[in-house]
Formats: sequence, structure tokens, C-alpha cells
Amino acid sequence: MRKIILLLLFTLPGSILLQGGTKEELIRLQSDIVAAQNQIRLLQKSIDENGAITKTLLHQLLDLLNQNNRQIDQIRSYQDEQLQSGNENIEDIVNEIRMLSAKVDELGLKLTTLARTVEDTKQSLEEMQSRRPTPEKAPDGSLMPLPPDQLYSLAYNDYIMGNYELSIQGFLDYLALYKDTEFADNAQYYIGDSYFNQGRYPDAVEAFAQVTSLFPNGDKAPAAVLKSGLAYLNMSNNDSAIELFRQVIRTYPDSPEANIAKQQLQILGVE
Amino acid sequence: MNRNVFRLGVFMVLVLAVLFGMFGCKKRTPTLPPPPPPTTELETPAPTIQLRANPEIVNYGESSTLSWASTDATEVVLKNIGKFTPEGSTVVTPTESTTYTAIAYGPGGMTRSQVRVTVVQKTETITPTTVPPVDEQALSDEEIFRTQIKDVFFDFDKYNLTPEADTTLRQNAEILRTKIPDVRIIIEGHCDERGTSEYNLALGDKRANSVRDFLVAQGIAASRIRTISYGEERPFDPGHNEEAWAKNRRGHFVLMK
Amino acid sequence: MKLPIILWITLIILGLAVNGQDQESSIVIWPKPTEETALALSDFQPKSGNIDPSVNEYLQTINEILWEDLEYSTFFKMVSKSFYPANRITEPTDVVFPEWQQTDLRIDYLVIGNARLENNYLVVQCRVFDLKTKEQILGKQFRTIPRYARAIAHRISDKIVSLLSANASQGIASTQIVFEKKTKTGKEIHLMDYDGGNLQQLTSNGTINLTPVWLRDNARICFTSYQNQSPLLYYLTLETAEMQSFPIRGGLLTTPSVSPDGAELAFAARLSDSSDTDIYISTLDGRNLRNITQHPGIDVSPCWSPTGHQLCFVSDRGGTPQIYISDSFGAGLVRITLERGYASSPDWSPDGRYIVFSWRPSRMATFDLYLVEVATKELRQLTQSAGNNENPSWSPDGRHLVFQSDRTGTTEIFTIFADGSNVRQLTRLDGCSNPGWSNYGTAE
Repeated sequence: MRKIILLLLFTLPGSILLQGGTKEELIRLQSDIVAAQNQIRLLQKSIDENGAITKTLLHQLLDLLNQNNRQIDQIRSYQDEQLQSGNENIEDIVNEIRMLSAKVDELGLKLTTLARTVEDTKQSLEEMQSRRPTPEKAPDGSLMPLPPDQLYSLAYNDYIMGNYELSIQGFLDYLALYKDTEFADNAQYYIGDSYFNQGRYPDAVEAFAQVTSLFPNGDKAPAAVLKSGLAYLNMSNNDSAIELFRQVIRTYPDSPEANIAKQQLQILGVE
Repeated sequence: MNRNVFRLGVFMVLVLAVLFGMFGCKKRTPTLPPPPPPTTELETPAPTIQLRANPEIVNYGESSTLSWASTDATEVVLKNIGKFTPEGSTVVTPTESTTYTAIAYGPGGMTRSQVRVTVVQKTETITPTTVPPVDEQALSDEEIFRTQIKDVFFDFDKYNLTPEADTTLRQNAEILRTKIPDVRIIIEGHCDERGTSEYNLALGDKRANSVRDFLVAQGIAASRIRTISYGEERPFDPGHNEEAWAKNRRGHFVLMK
Repeated sequence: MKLPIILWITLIILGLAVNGQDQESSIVIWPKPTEETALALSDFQPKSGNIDPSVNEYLQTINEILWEDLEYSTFFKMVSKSFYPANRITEPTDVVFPEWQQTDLRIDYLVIGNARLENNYLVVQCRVFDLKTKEQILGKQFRTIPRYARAIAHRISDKIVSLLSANASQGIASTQIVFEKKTKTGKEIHLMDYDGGNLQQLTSNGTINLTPVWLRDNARICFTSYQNQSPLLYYLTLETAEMQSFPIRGGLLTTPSVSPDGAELAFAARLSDSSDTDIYISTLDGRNLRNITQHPGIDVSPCWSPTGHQLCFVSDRGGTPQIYISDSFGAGLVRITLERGYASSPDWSPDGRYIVFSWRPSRMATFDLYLVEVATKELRQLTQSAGNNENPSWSPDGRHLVFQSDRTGTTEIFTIFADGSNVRQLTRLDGCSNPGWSNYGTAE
């Protein structure tokens, strides 16, 4: 009994010392974890700005965590040695450290997952971008066609400003490159309308016909039929005009163009 | 370490509980209000009266008997005729359709009862002198219009009728249909200053027409109604706050002269 | 621990997506006036032989107004007079070219002139020299009654702008502005020069007169008047003050806009057979009427595109007032403002590229002027933190805008460069609104 007390007396300061040391370690670990959290928050902010930096930071973070793990392992083995003495307090602390280290491990795992997710996201974004039709370089390698939205805007701007030769060419270029995009039907319609505004009615009719044949469900289809009717009207072909106005009312009864067609029929004296 | 914290925590909780118990209890003094005293006063009942006419429709020159019965009345007054006992009758010979009013006075107050005697005019007996002066008739319409026809109000940038406006317009329609069926009206659409003046012209027009369409649906002839939009040009309240704006978003009724 | 990490991942992914969008809409192009040409304006002098000293008074007006006009034209950097050589210049022979050509002055062109009074007429001579070549590139003489000294200055400015801008602008100094002014009985239409000078009252019918616009020949204006009770459209001939009613009548006719070829009128109207306001087009004398917005709800404030093939207008069909464009038949409708807040009173730029309008992003905010590029729908804010700014109208050269603002406490008329700089207050009359800028002045 006395031996045990003596042993305790001898080991206690050590264990207290150890305890103190472990506390410090724990606090340090905790602050490390807080630092890690902060870094992740920072990461969050900058991740979209620079993928490369993100990756490096993530790697650094993982390194840091691995270091922590290593330190925890060291403490654990040190404590294991001390544990031989069978100190309950120490056992408690060790358990706590185990839990903590498990959590840190978990964090590390999550971070790895995070890194993978970020990597995946980037990849899928790149994929999405690569799936957009990237026009090939011209034979001489000097001219890169504009991306679809810019090409469309340029052509539309010419249309709005009344530069119809340019807008027709612009929309034709657009259709040659981006036939399957959302605005292809609009481009075809504005080709027709550019002809219409120039008074080139037969060309307009032809272009408008393509809107309905190529994009029958596009939102410009009712307008295309109506405008070809108006083109015929301007060519004094009232019969064709009336037929087309009736077609607008029949095919697209709920469109604003149907009302315009009705009004045109009224003006023409037919109903 | 954890145990110490735990102990400290338990201690703190106990201390807090004790403190809360000490102070919290003080506040819980029951202060129920005393039950209201039973009402002992007996109210004097208001008089009642029923006025009848027999017959209610007479030819020009014929008489009708007005009779009445009342309760809790000390005296009955027939308006424009005279004072009478609480129960009785009198004979009248109106030259034109007339509404008679009997008022019963008693300790509990006063009560009215009305009856209308319709005079069937013989065409040959109509003389200019029996037609009431035009001015008086118009004044009366104007009076009814001024006091009973109410404006309606709209929400910001809206021209649909609010439930309140709906109620008001039903009442207006009733008055226009029954009390002043001959007047023609102008509905003015007004807006607050917050929109742009151009858009508000259209908005005011839309408001005036919402009101008009409602009245027409209530059976008022469209030919009796004219609408006009003043946009934000004629505010009722020149202020620049929600109170003023709310007043200015209105469908305003004007009597057409 | 688990939740926050999942949250972070989500945030990061969201962050990526949102940021991708932001980057795409960051390019803004807008008409920036250039100030590359350096101009010197040597004060005009009394011509030798002039015997009437009152010419100095008119000369002072001309020198002041001409300087302001040239400076406000957006085309020139006006070189300060304190750097000029000392001697007065009356005739071309007075110009000592080496002095003006000093490189540190960096003057490109020199404007000189003189004036004299002759039989109660003011005669003004003006010359412009290219200092690189010493050549006279402009020489003009103007003769008018002295009262029109301001007008002469404006004319000279327009000549110089037209010449040196290679006709990018014909000069706006001779243009005028019509607007509504509050009176005791309502609003009357008034007229003033583009710089706020020369104020005149055009109507005096004692009712409400609104939304004035110019016809293409600048000889007439068109506006809404309550003079016959209902708000209807009228023409007013400026020369004779003669009113003429527009033949189409209804419950409300307002916000007229004259087509670029001057032959048609677009306007908002509720005609007797309709219960809502639509956009109609007819000839100036009311023939060939057609409705281009057959849609229930409010449609108002039409404005033609310079090609005459499109119109923009305000419609509440989406729930709030927003700007839409369609062709002149009503087909191909497109909304060009965000479906948010309250957008109103659009005006299409003379080059067709932009539409200026008044927008209040939320009910708590104030109205500000915004430019939208029609093709890209990109927005640029022109006014900010200065009260409500409404009813913009383009100058004919597309480099200036006139609008109403209550920034000073009362509603007044202001002009501004198309890039949002150089605000200039034109009126201090309390209650001036809805300005309409005239077309280019008719050539001499």
C-alpha cells in the first residue's frame, strides 16, 4: 500500500506535468482546428477565383491535418507509455484525445472529399464549357468566330440600327455556326424581318417560311406567318395575305399576332 | 477537468434556480379583477309605432285614412299635419304621392314610422302648378349625391377594386338606381404622385373604368356615366406621404350638371 | 462538424455558379463623348468702323453664349482664355500664327470674329482657323436684329460643331425644348432654348396640358390637353399659336410620338369601344388607324425607333410597368427591362442603339435615368442620389438628354451628357416637367 502511495507520489507530478502538457497540446490542436476552419472559409471565398490556389491550399490543409494526426499519434504513444502506471485521469484524457483525433481524422476525410468535390465541379464545368460549340479556327489560324451571344448581339444591333445588309449577314453567320442554339429561330426571323424592312418582300417571305418549317414551335413562329402575310399585302397579293392571316389565327389563336391578323382582316374588309 | 466543470455547472444551475425561485415568485401575486357588479338599472323601453294608410293608392282628389297604434308613447306627431294621441286616425287628401311620417315620443325616446300614399294622377288634371319646382328637385338629388355617394380608393399601382371599394360601389349603385335614378355622373380616376405622370394618366383612366364597369354590371346604364382620368394632376391631398398618397389613389364621383 | 462541411461544399459550389454569371455581364459599352479637339475662342471684337457703342453689350452675350455652347457640345476641350496671346483679334490679319501654334498651348483650331451695328441690324462675322495649316476652314456672316444675339451665338456654335465633328452632330445649340409648367389652373406648355434661355409660354387655355412632343419639321408640337374636358390630342403651330385638334377622339389620348419620316403618329389611347389604354398608330391626320397592343392592361408612352420599324413602350402586362419593344405592327414583342421595379417613359436614342428610361428598382427607391443597350439589354445608370429623375428625352445628336428632376426640392428641367456627367439646371420655375427636345434646327 505504501509502495503504491509512494509510486503515486512519484508519478503524480509527472502525470500532472503530463496532464498540463496534454492540455496545452489539446488547446493547440483545437486552435489548429479553428485555424483550419478559418482557412476553409477563406478557401470558400477564393475557390472560384483561382482553382490552382484552391488546390494548393487544400493540399496545405491536408498536410497540416496530417501533421496534427502525427502529433496526436506521438502524444498517444507517449501517453500509452505513461498509462502503464494505470492512472485513471490519464485514461480519461487519452479517451478524449482519441475522440478528438477521430474527429480530426473525420475532418481530414471530409476535406479530402471536399477537395474531390471541388475537383469534380471544376471538371464538370470544364466539360460543360467544352460541350458548347467552340468554333474552329479559320484555315489561316488568325480568325476566331465570336461566341454565340456576341455574334447574335452584333447582328441584332445592326438590325435595330437599320443596317439590314449587315444584320442579314450576321444572322446568317450565326445560323451557320450555332444552328442548334436557343436563339436560332430568332435569328432566322430577324433575317426575314431585315428583308421585310428593306422592302425585299419575296426574300422576306422565303426567310419567314424557314422560321415555321425549321422552328414550328419557336416563339417567333406566329410573328413569321403574320409578317409574311404583311409582305404579301405589300406585294398587293391580298389572297395570299388573307390566307396567311387566317393561318395565324388558326394555328396560334392565343398569340398577340393572332389579334393583329384579325385587325388586318378587318382592315381588308374580310373576317 | 470535465467533472469540475460539471460540478460547477450543477452548482450554478442550483443557485440560479434558487434565485429565480426567490424573485420569480414575487411577481406571481394573484391580482384577479373583481367580478363586474350585476346590472341593476332597468331601461325605459323605446316607444314603438306602426303607421298605416287605407287605401295606400288613391285617385287624384280621393281621401285616405291614416291610422296608427303605438306602445310606450305619450304623444304622436304626424309630420306636417299635427300632434295626436298615442293611438288614433286622421283623413288626408294628398294632391300627389306623399310619404307620411309618424313620430312617437315617449320617456324611452322617439321612433318613426312611414307610409306612402300613392296618388294616381288623371292626365287631364295635371296643371303646371302641381309640378314641384325643378330647382328643388335638383337640389335634393344633389344633396343625396353629396352626402351618400362615396369615393373609392385603390392600392398602389393597382386598378382592381379592393373589398372595401366593392362594398362602397354596391351602396353607390343602390343609391344611383333607387334614390337618384335621373342623375348622370362623372367618375374621375386619380393617382398618387409616386408613379410617372404619363403612366398615371393611363392608370387613372383604368381606375375610372374599373369603377364604371362595376356600376354597369350593377345595372346602372352606361349612358349615365362618363369617365375621365386626371392621373396625378389633381391630387386631393398635396402632401408627400402615405396618408396623402392613399387619399389620392381614388375613383372620385362627380355629379354631371 | 458534419453539417458545416456540407454547408461549405454547397456554398463553394454555389459560389462557383454565381460568380460565373457575374463575369459575363460586366462589360458595358455606352456613348462616351470625346474631348480630343482643343479649341480656342478669341473674344469677338467690335469691327473697325462701328460707331454704336451698344455693340459691346451684344458682343458680351455672343462671347459668353458661344463659349458655353462649344463647351457643352461634348466635342471640344476649350483652352482657357488666360493662355491666349495678348493682342485682340478682330480680323484674320490680327492672328499671329506662331504665337497660337506654340506646342505647349496644344490648340487645334482658333475661332475669331467681330460685330457691328448697321441700320439697327447686328452683323456678326465669324472665322475658324486650322492652326496646323493656318488655313481658314470656316467663314460666315450673320445679320439680324440685335435681340437675337443669343441665336447668332447658337448658330455659330452649330456651324463649328457640324464642321469639326465631321457631321457626327449638326450641333444642338439652336435646338429648343418644350415642357409642361404648373400654373394655378393646371399645366401649360412652355418653350425654351436648349440652354434654358428665351422662355415662352405656348398655351394659355387654363386647363391641363401634357406630354408635348415636336413634329419633325419643328414647326408644330403635339400634346394632350383637357381644354375640351376630355384629355385629347392637339397640334399647335408655333408661329401662329394656332391649335388644331387631332381627329381621333376617345376617353383618353396621350403620349404622342412622331415617326422618323414625320408621317405617322403613335400614341396611347383608350378609344370609346375599349376599356383599356393601347398603343395606336395613324397618320398625322388620323387615317389608317391601327392598334399595335391588343392586350388587356395598360400600354402607354410609345416611342419610335429611328428606323421607324420598331417602337418601344410601357406595358403592365407582366404585372409591373416595364419597357417592351415590338415592330410597328405589334409583332415580335420583346421585354427589354428587368421584370422588377417600375420602368417608365422610354425614349429611343437617335442612333437606335439605346433606350433611355426612368426606373425605380424598388418602391423605397427613387426614379433614376438608365440607358439600356437594346441588343444586349445591358444597363447603365445615369443619375443617382439626386431625387427623382424622370421623363428623359434625347437631344437630336444623341449626346445629351433633357429630363425632369426634383433634386432641388421643386421639379425642374435639367440636361445631362449621355454618359451621366455634366448636369445642368435649365429652369428655376417650380413645377416644370416632361421636357421634349426638338429636332435639329432647320438649315439656313
